Amino acid sequence: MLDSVYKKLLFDKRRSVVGWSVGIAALALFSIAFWPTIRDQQADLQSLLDAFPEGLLGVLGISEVESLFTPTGYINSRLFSNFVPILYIVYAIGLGAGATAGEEADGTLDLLLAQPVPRDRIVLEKLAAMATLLGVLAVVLSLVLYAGDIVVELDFSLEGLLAANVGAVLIALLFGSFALWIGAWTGNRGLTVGVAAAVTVTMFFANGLLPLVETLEPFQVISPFEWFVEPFPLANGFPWGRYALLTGFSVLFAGLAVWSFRRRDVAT
Amino acid sequence: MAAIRTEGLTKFYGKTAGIVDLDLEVAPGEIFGFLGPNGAGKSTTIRLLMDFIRPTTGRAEVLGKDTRTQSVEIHRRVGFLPGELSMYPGLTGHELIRYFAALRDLPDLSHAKALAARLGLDLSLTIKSYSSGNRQKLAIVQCLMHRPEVLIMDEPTNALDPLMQLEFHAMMKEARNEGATLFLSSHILPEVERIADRVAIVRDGTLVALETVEALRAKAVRRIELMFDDPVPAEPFARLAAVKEISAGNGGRSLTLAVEGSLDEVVKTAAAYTVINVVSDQGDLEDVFLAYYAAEGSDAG
Repeated sequence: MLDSVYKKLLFDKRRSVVGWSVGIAALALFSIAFWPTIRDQQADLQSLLDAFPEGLLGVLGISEVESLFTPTGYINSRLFSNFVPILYIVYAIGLGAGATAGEEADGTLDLLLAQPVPRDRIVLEKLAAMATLLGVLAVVLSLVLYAGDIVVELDFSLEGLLAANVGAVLIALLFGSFALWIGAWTGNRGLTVGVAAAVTVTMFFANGLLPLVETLEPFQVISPFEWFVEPFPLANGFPWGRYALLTGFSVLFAGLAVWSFRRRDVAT
Repeated sequence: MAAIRTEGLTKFYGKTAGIVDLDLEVAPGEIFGFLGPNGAGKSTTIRLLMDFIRPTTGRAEVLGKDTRTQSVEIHRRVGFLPGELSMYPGLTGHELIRYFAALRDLPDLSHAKALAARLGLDLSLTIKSYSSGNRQKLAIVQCLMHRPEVLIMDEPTNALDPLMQLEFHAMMKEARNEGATLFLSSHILPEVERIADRVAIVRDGTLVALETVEALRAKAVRRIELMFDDPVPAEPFARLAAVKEISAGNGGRSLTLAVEGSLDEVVKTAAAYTVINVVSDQGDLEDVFLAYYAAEGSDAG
């Protein structure tokens, strides 16, 4: 189990990933459980939502009120346009900041670097472990939703389910590899978490709020949340171009992380 | 080929000097003590050799490999003991050993287990439950387990009790007998004196002396306190060539001396009286070497 930097990280996170999986599964189960109620009280909820300001709906992940009352639209607005990517991103930022900056802060990095393992490989194996852990969450969520579909008919296609889950992992990897880079560059875990969280929150609200102002709407596309949420992958399947964009930025940040870490003095 | 060589090795942290223009050559099979007070540049030098930090100017080689471009190859053949004893607190000792052994492609853990047994270290406990002494032992095990050609150790016996220090010194001598080169830093003279062949002394980032241990021993000044059952005259002691300073206390029942080199004359003189106790203060290096530095200065000019 403990025979590489990659597996060591999985070993360290064996309890945390179970906790996160349970949390994600519970969130999905609650959402599914409420679907029949939402469906049956459509008229009441419709008038309630009509009274909501548009900005609030945007931030809640409800772009069109009508779509909320299709099962796919409901699951999308409850899970994939907010909670799921945000939770994955939180997990990924923690992993990214913990990767090298965390070991540096804990003082364990010296001993690790004294082993005959290139610095590049340490960074990349930690990123691979991050992707694997996010993948575990995605598999758990997919299984819960698939089971939910069987019980209460959620009406999404297998491709849609796959596309939404892959996309959620990709957007989390983007912010996670961003945190990995800042951590590898600065060696400061707290600063890394702060910067990555600030960027995430800014991008999240940019996606929700920019479209409300006509002159600002064109700028919505700067937000990675737009790349994932807007194409509505749960209903429409893989938006390949946008997913390539998400992946491309992850690769860019991973490259920057490797480059920054390679050339840096590590702290005592 | 030297086991370790530095050429004009210099590291600045901003404007603060870590180590300046260090030229050193450590021969294969040598035990080399790197001595200096805290903050003198010892850890900086070690971290440069390990490629954790990069020189501002100058360069260094370990086993003929450049520390900047061939660090992975160096790490494969070097055992490192960090000055900071932070290790993964959630792992057991055994898990840590297994992890580092795997990163070194070292399938056989029997040598590591033998080392741990010799130091009396229980590998089944988690690192967070270890005392600092046990953490030091674990660090020593991981440092030696792959039978490295060069050992680079930052304050290796800091947290060890005296009995374990003896065991550690025995291990160091065995490693040397098997052909290993040892580079160890310390701020305590007697520790280095006991095992090193040669000693470099650094202070404020600069190399002040490079000597064999015998030469150093002859020059080093140490403070001792002699306690007697009756007041004794200070005069016979003050007359001795080795005694640099003397002061009496406790109504003449105790004498505090600064002695250069061997204590032989002092002990023989003291033997004429009834000695109750002898306290030899290891002091810290700053204190022990003050006179030494001064002597160096007057020799030169």
